[in-house]
Amino acid sequence: MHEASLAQQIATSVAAAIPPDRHGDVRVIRCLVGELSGVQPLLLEGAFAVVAALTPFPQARLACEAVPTRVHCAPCDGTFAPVHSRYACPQCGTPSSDVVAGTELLVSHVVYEAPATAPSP
Amino acid sequence: MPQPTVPQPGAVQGHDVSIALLKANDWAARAVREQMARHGVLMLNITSSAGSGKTLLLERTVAALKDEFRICVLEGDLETERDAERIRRHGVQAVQITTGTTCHLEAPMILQALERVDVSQLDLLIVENVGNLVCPAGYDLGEQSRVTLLAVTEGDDKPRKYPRMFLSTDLVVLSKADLLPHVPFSVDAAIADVHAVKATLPVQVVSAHTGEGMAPWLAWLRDQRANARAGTAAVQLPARATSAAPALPAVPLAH
Repeated sequence: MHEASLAQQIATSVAAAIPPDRHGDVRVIRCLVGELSGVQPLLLEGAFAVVAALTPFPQARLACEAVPTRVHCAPCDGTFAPVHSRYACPQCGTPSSDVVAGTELLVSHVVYEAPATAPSP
Repeated sequence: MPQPTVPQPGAVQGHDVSIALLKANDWAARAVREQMARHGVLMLNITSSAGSGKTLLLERTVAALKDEFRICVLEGDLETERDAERIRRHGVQAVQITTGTTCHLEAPMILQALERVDVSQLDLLIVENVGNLVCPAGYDLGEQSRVTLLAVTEGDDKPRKYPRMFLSTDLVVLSKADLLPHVPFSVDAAIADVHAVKATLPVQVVSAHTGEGMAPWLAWLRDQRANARAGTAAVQLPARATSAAPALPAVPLAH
């Protein structure tokens, strides 16, 4: 979809969410990217690698975790993964488009590394 | 031995966060939805591929309903005022939103366009999205209902190729139905493909060119409009019943 602008949004959102004095320590930003979000995880990671130098986290890399689509089936009280966009439960055949996972697009975790030189005591 | 108060040099720490990347869009969509609910306006978001007949359907729709409803159309396109001009020819207000290079509308663009519209004087706000079955699916604009066109010239195998769009929509219009004799398009196969994604989705077969199927489409619109008004009445009743003027209750989100 819009991986470059999303990469910028990730940088802006994370910068606002963590203390400024820790910006330089950020090493990894983890994202959850749903299968239905319209975003390609590999392209988003690549886009972030390109814009990282322009962000407050030049040493950070983006690590995306793809979230598979899961759909709730009421009769079975379980979830299933649609195959080739067939939104019907493979167990009982009941159609359902109650998507409970797979539309996520969020930053889930930030990993910092403490500075290489210890602060003076 | 005292615990260090600062991390050891080179130590790695992780922090769980939850930052939604479309938070700004969802905030704006909520503001739009509340504005519509306050005035009982039905807002529709019309999506489809480019060239599937959205604007012609809207031209025929505003021509049929302009004496019945106060209508405004927001036209999303990358460039030109062409679509807005086509709507204005029918004497209906239209605001063009040119997105430049962006292939979809986002809710903040709707808020900005609404600065030029008196929502309190409207019954119906129709947003024509940028022609694209991919990206517009992921952006809530604050609409009450989403309508997706699939032209018979596009092929009956599209719904399962673009599941997010068909999952998120409330009505499918098979458009350009007058061309059915000339193209290898099976209405039954298209409906089966739509229902493989979302079994409850209503499908209408419409030709804006000949007028075939326009009556059920207009009836659906009138129903939706009645629902929007009923929602407003339900919201306003408690305010009339009490002397204090309470804040507007939260409006249930359609998406």
